[in-house]
Amino acid sequence: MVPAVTRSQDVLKGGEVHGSLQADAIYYLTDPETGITDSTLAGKLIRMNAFTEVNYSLGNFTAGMRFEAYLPPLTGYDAQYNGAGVPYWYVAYKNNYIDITAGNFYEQFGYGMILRTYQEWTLGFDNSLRGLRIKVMPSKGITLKGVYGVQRYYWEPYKDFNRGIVKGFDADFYLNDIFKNLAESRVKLTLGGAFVSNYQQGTTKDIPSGGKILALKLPENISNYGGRFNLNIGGFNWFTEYAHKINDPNALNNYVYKGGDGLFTNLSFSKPGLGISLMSKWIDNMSYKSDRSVVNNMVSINYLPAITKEHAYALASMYPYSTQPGGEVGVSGTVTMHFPKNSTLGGKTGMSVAGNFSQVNGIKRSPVNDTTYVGQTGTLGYASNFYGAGDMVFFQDANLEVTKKFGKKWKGIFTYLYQTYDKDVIESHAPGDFGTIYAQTGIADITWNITKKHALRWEIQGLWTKQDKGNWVASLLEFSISPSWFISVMDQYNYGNSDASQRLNYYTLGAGYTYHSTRILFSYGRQREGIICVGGVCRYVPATNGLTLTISSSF
Amino acid sequence: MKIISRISFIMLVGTLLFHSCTKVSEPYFTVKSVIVDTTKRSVLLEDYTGHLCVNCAPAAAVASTIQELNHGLVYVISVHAGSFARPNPTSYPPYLAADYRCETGNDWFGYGAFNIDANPKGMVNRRPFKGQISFGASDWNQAVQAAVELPKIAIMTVNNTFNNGNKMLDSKVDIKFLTGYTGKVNLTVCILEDSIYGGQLNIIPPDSIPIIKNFRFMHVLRGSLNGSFGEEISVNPSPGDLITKSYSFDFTANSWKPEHCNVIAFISDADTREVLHVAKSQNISLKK
Repeated sequence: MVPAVTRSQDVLKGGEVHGSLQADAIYYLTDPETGITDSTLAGKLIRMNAFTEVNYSLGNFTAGMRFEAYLPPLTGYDAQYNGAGVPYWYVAYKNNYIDITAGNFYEQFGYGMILRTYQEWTLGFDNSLRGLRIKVMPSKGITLKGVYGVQRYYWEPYKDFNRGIVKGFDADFYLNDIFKNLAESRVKLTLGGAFVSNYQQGTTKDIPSGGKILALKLPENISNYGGRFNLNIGGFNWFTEYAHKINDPNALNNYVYKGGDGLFTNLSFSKPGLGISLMSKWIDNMSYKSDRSVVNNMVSINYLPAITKEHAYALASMYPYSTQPGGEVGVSGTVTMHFPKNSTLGGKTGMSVAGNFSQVNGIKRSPVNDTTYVGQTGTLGYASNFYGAGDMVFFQDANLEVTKKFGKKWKGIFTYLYQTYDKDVIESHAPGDFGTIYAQTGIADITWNITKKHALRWEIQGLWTKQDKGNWVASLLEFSISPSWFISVMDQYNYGNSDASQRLNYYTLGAGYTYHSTRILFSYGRQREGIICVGGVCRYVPATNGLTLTISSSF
Repeated sequence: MKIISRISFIMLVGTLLFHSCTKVSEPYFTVKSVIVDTTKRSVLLEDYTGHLCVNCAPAAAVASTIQELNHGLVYVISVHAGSFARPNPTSYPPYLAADYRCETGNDWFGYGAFNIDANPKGMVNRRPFKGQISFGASDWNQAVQAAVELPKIAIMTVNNTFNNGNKMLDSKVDIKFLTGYTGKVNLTVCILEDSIYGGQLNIIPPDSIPIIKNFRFMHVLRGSLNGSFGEEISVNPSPGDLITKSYSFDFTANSWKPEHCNVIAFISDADTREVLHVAKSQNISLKK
């Protein structure tokens, strides 16, 4: 007789465990100047968001889970996250032909306009599917995927059709692998297509409108489908995806029955020392959720691509763009150049230059007939022409970044931005409440490598605008001892605020220690109010003051 | 050939499994008639609103419509609270300078009570609907229809006497329990004012204008006569229990128009705060 426990050890022999964890905890302080009081904090002075993810693999099998705790959630995160538990777990089997996952999974079809589930910790965003995913690779160059499940909605369990059931199918064909005579061709072509359907129970919904209660006829199965291609010839690459959604009356589109359309295209060219990228998108009524009544970021089935540049510097990121799923049309272009050492422009140490321009407008809408106003509940809603741009400029960003070394010890990054930002549209305020902001930002980021281990970095930033909160200046000084330590001090000063009482300093003292894959960060100070965006998906960040501790690790 | 047949089979299965679309054709709706049944439980619909909130005007219309179509069964309180209700004298002066907030509304809105996280949001008898205690206007009517199906616990009347000379209001609330109830019961008595005209931001069609300068605010919560969360009037009431409470209020201390005001009273579970019954007076009569 062999003890059962010994058999288990044999079965598990050779397995590997990997994982990661992060805890963000803040001790909040009241700060009357920024409007932070005991009342706004609701007495919950210490808050924490934390997760631990563990993945176990053995041969073709993997399994994993993620524990999350929001006790209570940090300010700016949805209060519905309050609690702790395991919202994510899975078991999977994979070989060269098939890949099966049961439980929670993240998946993306193409660029995501038809389906993309993902998690973004900084946004408090998680739209994972819980169900079954099957990937089949019947032959080289062909990948077929099927998904079937329900999405996460905070901690609310799925029951009694309280949200939709998502089903999807995706096919991807890399022609150069499928056809042997194309294997060596310089022309590389991938074709793909996807179909997703969401079933949400309920054929009627009562909506008060115009002094009446309308019993709307609802589609229970809402599909979103489309195709894509990726063409690569030498240094050129051209990707395009188109998606069409059938009638999807929902709270975000005021329960209109117009279908949705989305197009994203990206043409790029690269060779040593030069990179060019041109992007464009057309979005018309493309919010697609597994619960038609949800109006925040949760239960989104698809992802609408962002084409604007995400800036990392504090003042440059003050006005980020948030994708408008109701309708937007945009273009962007980026050119990056590297001038090598000993060239005319590169000088002795070389130089890199990156220029970027993007603009997003609203789409042009017109009434569907003489008796229906644009967006009227219980109608087609409006008419629009493909790529018909409206007059409203939601966002514009022209920026230039120059990176230059000065000798062996000095390096500088110099950035200039000119932005146009319709705050009312992007942050969902009333028209005219804030209006359009025109801002110029200049940044110098200088690093002095004192020794091989010691470096001093200094940032000086200025933002000038006649609108919103007026002019800002910011500076950061950071001393680092590689590979483990850094200490920094930063201040953002809103010296141009028209309200003299709000000409505040947002100071922060920070320190960090890194040991292998573990990082501990500690900071004290103020955070200004604003929005934070990742990939065009945004979260409001309230002003805070306090002590922050962040611990992250992976193993 | 084997590969092609395998792919074809998988794609056929995929298509059969996933090809599901529901195309809806016009007309997209029918107008629903609502039959008022006064033997049903009455409902308190709280509309948390603000004059800086661009989506609040249509939500207010939704609330008023639900009250109108459920006459005698649904009572609306418009609670101006939160950041969208603050005065903003510098935007569109002077239309947004008014302050319709009150201590009671602020208490209900805040973290200590219902923690309303946005405007417009509403509560229906302070009962969770789809797992949420507060929710958007598109769900109010469904929540109301669900709430009225619950058994009727009590009947209530609210009668006012107003002295036009000294501007004193005397209000009497009579409650009779029709069924027993397990738990502590609170009574909250509030003053509402109708027909206050002022600026209301708005972007919603058909107006589609930044501000409605002469918006008619209805059912505006002015305050409570017996504390933000009322007072305890009974513990484990039995069928037939009768309770009478009287309150007085001096109108000389404010600029409210008594003839536009009325008194709304509701009983609630003291622990869960769920509203059990609601009644409202007629507008205050200036005749002695």
